[in-house]
Amino acid sequence: MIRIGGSTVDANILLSQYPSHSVESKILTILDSSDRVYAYRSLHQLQFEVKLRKSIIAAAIHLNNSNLSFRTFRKSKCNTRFWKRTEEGGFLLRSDVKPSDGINDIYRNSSRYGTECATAMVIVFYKAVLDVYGESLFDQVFNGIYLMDWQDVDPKLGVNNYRNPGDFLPGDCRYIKNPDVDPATPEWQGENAIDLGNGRYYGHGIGIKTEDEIIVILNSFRREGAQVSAYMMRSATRPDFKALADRMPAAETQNYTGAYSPPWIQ
Amino acid sequence: MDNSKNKDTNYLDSYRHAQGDDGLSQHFRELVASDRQKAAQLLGTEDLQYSSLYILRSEIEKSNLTEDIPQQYRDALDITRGILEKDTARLRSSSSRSGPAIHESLKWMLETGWREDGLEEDYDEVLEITAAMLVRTYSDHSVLPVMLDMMFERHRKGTFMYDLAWAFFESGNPQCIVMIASRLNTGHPKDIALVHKLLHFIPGIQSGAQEIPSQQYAHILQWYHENSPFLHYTGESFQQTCKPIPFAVSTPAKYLGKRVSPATGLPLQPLAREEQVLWDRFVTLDPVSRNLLSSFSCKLYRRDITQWNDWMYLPLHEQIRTARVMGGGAV
Repeated sequence: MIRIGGSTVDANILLSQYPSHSVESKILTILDSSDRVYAYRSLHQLQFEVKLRKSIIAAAIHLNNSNLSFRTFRKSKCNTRFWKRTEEGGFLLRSDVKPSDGINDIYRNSSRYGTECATAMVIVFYKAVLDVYGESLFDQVFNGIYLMDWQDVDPKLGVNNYRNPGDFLPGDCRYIKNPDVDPATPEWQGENAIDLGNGRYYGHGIGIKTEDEIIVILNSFRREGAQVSAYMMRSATRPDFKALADRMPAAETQNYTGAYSPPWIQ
Repeated sequence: MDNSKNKDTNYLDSYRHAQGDDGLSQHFRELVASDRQKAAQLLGTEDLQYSSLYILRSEIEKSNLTEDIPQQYRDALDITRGILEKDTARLRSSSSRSGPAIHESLKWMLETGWREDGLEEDYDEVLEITAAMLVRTYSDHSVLPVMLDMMFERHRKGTFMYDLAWAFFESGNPQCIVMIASRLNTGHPKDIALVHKLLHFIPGIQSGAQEIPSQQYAHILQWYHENSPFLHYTGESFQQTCKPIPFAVSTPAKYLGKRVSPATGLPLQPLAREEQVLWDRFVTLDPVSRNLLSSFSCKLYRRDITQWNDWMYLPLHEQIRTARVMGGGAV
């Protein structure tokens, strides 16, 4: 159920704004048909979440199509004109670089970057917000960025892991755990993957695959004699959509066109 | 072969500490050229540290001395190569050929090599995968203290420690919690910060908490004492979330006073029919009520088992009312 300002919303009115079979209508349908109450203070908040989820999907597909390489933290690399590589393998934005330039450089000069799956998800989240906010607002809000796994993510992005959230939505980051991973390859202990809303997921190092295909790949990295298969956990990692919405003037949400829109996203 | 206490008694180790890694490599090359037998003898001594063997590995291979060194060191070189080349087939082959011997080699590598953690990226990676293999393949928990030392040292230096933390928790041993908590007593701000990060899931333990470290340590021990029979390993890690909860309390088990397997979270003893009914009833509750009732039940059980037994068969709403009045609380 969707509530805006305390009132239950007729989802048909919302759905009429989007093409049927679009990712937006899929998101709204899940929210509306859920037993849980999804409460928003304003229409702007709801619209923002829908737009940001669509942007997350676009940013994920864009990153998949880039030359960002899969590297463990020990061997990670970045464009040192924009980022400083730290001792633990993370990327710290240089103080003389605009946050938007730093994030955009990862997409423009992707071959200069290499990292593992969790950091790629954080990059996707930042890129998605950048594409919705625009550079000016993004640079005001995020004045320093550190990319290292899920660690030290800017609290304004509000990234949180929700265990058993009830519903899973396009744009969620899911986790496929590999409990019997070979200890010699800890980087394959699991895979973070963005739900693309079409039965497929983007996981850095694996690409765009179905859940079953990701599980087959992870299972190939198990120890000898492994008994337990990889499986998708019932959790979702999400940015704080409402808090991010509140930083953006309502009118600007209407003007979002998206910096990158693959053909199948309507 | 426990060489952890024999620092620098070995000629090669002493030479390396005096002349550096390059100095040792150069010296060894010269020794091989002038007196190959002596070079092999020096490699054959029992008190060598892994770090020296690691430094000399390419020299040993180039000089065809691999067959002349003890089996344990040969295994260590094989393991090192397998790890650095990501040759899991090689590692599996070694392990299946001589499981117990490989276990001993891995242990020797970690116990004599950990003090040189930070030598270089590849070396550090070998140590952490060695630790992971000991814990996961051989269920060897005797190395957990060494792993803990390495984790906290790496955190102080700002180097990568998350795979080591993953391997540490993969022991599935709830005593990890107490081991980590003990680091509050060092008083080092970075140690305290890491304890807060690793044990954030314990109520009251977080950055900026008002209690002084020694009080927090006592608090954790008390929490552990109350909950240890009901703790199980969840498998959560820093790859999944910035706030993993590696160990969780089984609230239905705590409610019933049933010890669980740390691996599965299921009761060690099968439930009687009445207990199963109570369990099934309990799991329909919301998380807040579960925490309230399990905490109250645990305290009541320890205080007055007869009263507890009567209370267990009250309707749930009565149990909740009683727990609220008499004081339940956080798990």
